Amino acid sequence: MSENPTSPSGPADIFNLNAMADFTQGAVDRFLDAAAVDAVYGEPVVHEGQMIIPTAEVISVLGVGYGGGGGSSESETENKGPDYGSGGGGGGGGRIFSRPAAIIVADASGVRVEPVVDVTKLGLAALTAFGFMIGMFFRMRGAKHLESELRQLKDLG
Amino acid sequence: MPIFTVNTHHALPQVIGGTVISPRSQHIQAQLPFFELHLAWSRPLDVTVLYPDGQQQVIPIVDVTRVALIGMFLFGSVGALVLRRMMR
Repeated sequence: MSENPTSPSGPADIFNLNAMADFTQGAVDRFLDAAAVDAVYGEPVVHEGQMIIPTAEVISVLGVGYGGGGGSSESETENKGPDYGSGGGGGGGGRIFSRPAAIIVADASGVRVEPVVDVTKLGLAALTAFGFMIGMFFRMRGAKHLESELRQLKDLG
Repeated sequence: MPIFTVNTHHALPQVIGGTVISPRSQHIQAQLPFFELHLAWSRPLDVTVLYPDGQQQVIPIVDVTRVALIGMFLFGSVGALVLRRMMR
């Protein structure tokens, strides 16, 4: 702790930005650990001589921001010393996405990888792509129709 | 810290009936410069199988959903270009 806390030499002294950066890095490391190798392969399940290992794809996204500042007024009165003010803050957010990718099956006949198809995701993507294409088709058709009408008017006039 | 890193990890090998199963995964990490924005993507890569007779086999793990999504995106892009050319 500094001897005179009311006379900071700059924002770095007030907020200890290095400590903030360390804290942020710690949070980032913990968050990114969620997408580590342990999360990709689940606990193997052994049942009647068959081993099943679930696999998943894990995506984690994290954004962090922080800042601070301080200032002082130079005016000094008899009863009151110079005024100091400071403020700071930070925030962040993130999300972890995980979905099954495949299942490893090992039994007496050998080892094989069974894919996991996310029908809901594919269906939603197909509907979105189809809707976009239909919208684009009608938009282009409308533009072409307007162009031909303008050409006819020009020919008449 | 580098902006973009790609690492391959070996998960704990599993043994069943003398067969050793060693899964591998790929860990891709990115940090945007000038922003505290981090992205990590872990995906299963392949499985190395070592049979009791010494035979070794590498089975790739294909994410069918992702392949289908990429295919759909490419089909949509090509379809949009074809529509555009047809409407001209």
